[in-house]
Amino acid sequence: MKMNKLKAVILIIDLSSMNFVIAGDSSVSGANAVSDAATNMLRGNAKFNVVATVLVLIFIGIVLYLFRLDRKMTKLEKQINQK
Amino acid sequence: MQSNSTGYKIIKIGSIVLILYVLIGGLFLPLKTGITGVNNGQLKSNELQTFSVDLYNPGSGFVAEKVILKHKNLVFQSQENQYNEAGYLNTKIKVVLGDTQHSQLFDVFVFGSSNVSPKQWMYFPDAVWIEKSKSDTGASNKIALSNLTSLVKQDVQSGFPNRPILNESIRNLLYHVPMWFSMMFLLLLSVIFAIKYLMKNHLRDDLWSESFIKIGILNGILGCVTGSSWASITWESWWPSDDPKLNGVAIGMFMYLAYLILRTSLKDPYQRARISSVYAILIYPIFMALIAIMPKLSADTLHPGSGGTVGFNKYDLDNTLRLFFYPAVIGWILFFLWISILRYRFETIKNKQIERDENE
Repeated sequence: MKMNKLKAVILIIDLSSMNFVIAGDSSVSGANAVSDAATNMLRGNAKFNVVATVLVLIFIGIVLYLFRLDRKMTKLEKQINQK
Repeated sequence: MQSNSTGYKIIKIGSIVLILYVLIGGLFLPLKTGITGVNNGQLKSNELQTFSVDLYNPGSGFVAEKVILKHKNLVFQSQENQYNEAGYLNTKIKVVLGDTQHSQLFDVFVFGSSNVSPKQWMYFPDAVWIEKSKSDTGASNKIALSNLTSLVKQDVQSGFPNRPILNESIRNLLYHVPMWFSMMFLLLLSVIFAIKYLMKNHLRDDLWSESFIKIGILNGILGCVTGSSWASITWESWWPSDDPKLNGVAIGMFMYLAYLILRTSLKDPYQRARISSVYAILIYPIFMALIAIMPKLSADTLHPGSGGTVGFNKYDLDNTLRLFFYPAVIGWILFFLWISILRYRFETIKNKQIERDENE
């Protein structure tokens, strides 16, 4: 089962449509079928989707910090320009 | 830290180059051949039954020489294996458990090769359930383990190792784990600068310490959310509460959040610097004990390198992963070090501006 990594990344971005193709192994031994939709999505593409999710989360974390720093900088700039 | 010094340039450029290397290599290098799952894995004994094994990246022309079901010393070999180019290996097997054995969960072992992969064993744990039939009496048709070539997987194919359960998610080793290494490194730096402040009473050392702790907390939060999503598919829980490492980290993060609250509650800068420096020095060893020593003492934990084992052993890292794991750790550490330095530089400018306003 070859998989397309670009497709995996697009799947992550296209969360709103919820029309995932689950190419992974959601039916391991048929015993513990995981009903949770989010977990099934993360399992897709032989569990590559979770790697894409992790990268997106790290990016969001860094961007949120940059936004905080940006806001503080704008405030300081205003203070300096008032003089 | 001067913004044009060589060290600063090494941190900036080095982190970008290493992270790019780790992102490109870590995402595009293929995974070795492996098993991702088993379909129709509930079989009856004493009858010829069919189940199929999902193979991942097997390459074209895969030929399975042997398919084995194994539970401890109970080993059964399949009668017929048919590989479908869609990635399925259809297997026919007749298991006779015999008088002495009960219904069991079996591990699946596949021995095969293709145009791209050499002959090797692949393995998937607890994949097939054999239900004992009423007609299943008499002697078992199990085979002796010595009839098989050793059940050790030979890693000769290039690419990341394809471990059962982990599969593609093994790449997270390059993104989730360095968050924790980076956090521990930055918090260690915060202790060093806190000690430096207590010795010399320069407020800038306190500012360094605070910057490292803030970015360390950012690392900790990132480590928690990435680890949580990884755990949801490999450990079947978003927060496996019986893992001592997770609980230790949760307590530790609250101790560092208390550091931030402590700072905001004190107004005099020298008093604030002194008290928070002492607090930062005190909580670091407690935090390390919670995330590094307690998991080792506990009997069972999910994280590798815990519960009696020492660090990463040969089952966690192979040579291909090592080629990316160490650059990943260094790259992410340098990257978050860079962000801490940016934060320190910004706060310095802000403090200078406040001083200037007060003098006017």
